[in-house]
Amino acid sequence: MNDAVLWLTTGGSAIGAVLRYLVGQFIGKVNKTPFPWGTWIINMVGTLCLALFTARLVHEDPHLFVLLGAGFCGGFTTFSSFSTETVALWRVSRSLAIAYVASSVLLGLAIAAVVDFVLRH
Amino acid sequence: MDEAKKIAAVLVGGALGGGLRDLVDVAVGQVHLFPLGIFVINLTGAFLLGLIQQLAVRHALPHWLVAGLGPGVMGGYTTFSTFAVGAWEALRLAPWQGVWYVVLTAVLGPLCAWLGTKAIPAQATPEEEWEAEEEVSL
Repeated sequence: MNDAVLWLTTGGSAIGAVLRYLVGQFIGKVNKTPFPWGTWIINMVGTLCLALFTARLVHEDPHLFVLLGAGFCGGFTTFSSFSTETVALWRVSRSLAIAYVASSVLLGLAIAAVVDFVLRH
Repeated sequence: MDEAKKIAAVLVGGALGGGLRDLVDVAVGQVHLFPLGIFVINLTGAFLLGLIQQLAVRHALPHWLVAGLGPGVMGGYTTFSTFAVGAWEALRLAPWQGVWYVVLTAVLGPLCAWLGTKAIPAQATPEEEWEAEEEVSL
């Protein structure tokens, strides 16, 4: 299973990364504000998908869970861009940078919590 | 054509980053219920992306290489979704470890990215070099 996990994560991440790149570019063109809406939306959608896969696939289909969870969602969402964008935003507006971090983290947690409550209990 | 090259670089980079994430996560593991592996991955990835962006500006790296290393390798290596879902699980099962995980990740992530941009010493401008030479000769 360990080798399988490595390759499923690798493959899923490649697809997730390309989709993130394309979606990010598209939102970047539409977005006229300094707020990084692209990464924000990508991270929230990716968190929702991972929470759903965690609730429904972990036991039912472990291999598919690794491909879609650690692989696709892991590669689709990004913490590194989130961090560098926060630094860039901090130079424009400190309150906006704090709002970016707080809203990403709190909404991300809320999404994980709601999906967990609804689907697991 | 340039765009296709960048997408191919993100594909390869994303694969490498995702594979690296699995290897590091397995090697570091978790301490009690604190997801130390993902914590280390996200902070090192934030630092390295700051460094890469700085290098890209300084040395005018080709666009495809920047796309492959940044959104590709570092984007695939780090993860927000695993952080959020893992943090909720930690909060539920061991609240204090969960709180520390969330707060430390949120504060140290941007800090590491900032440190990454500062990791390369500022290149001296020709004037500064000239002034330095003058100081030495005096």
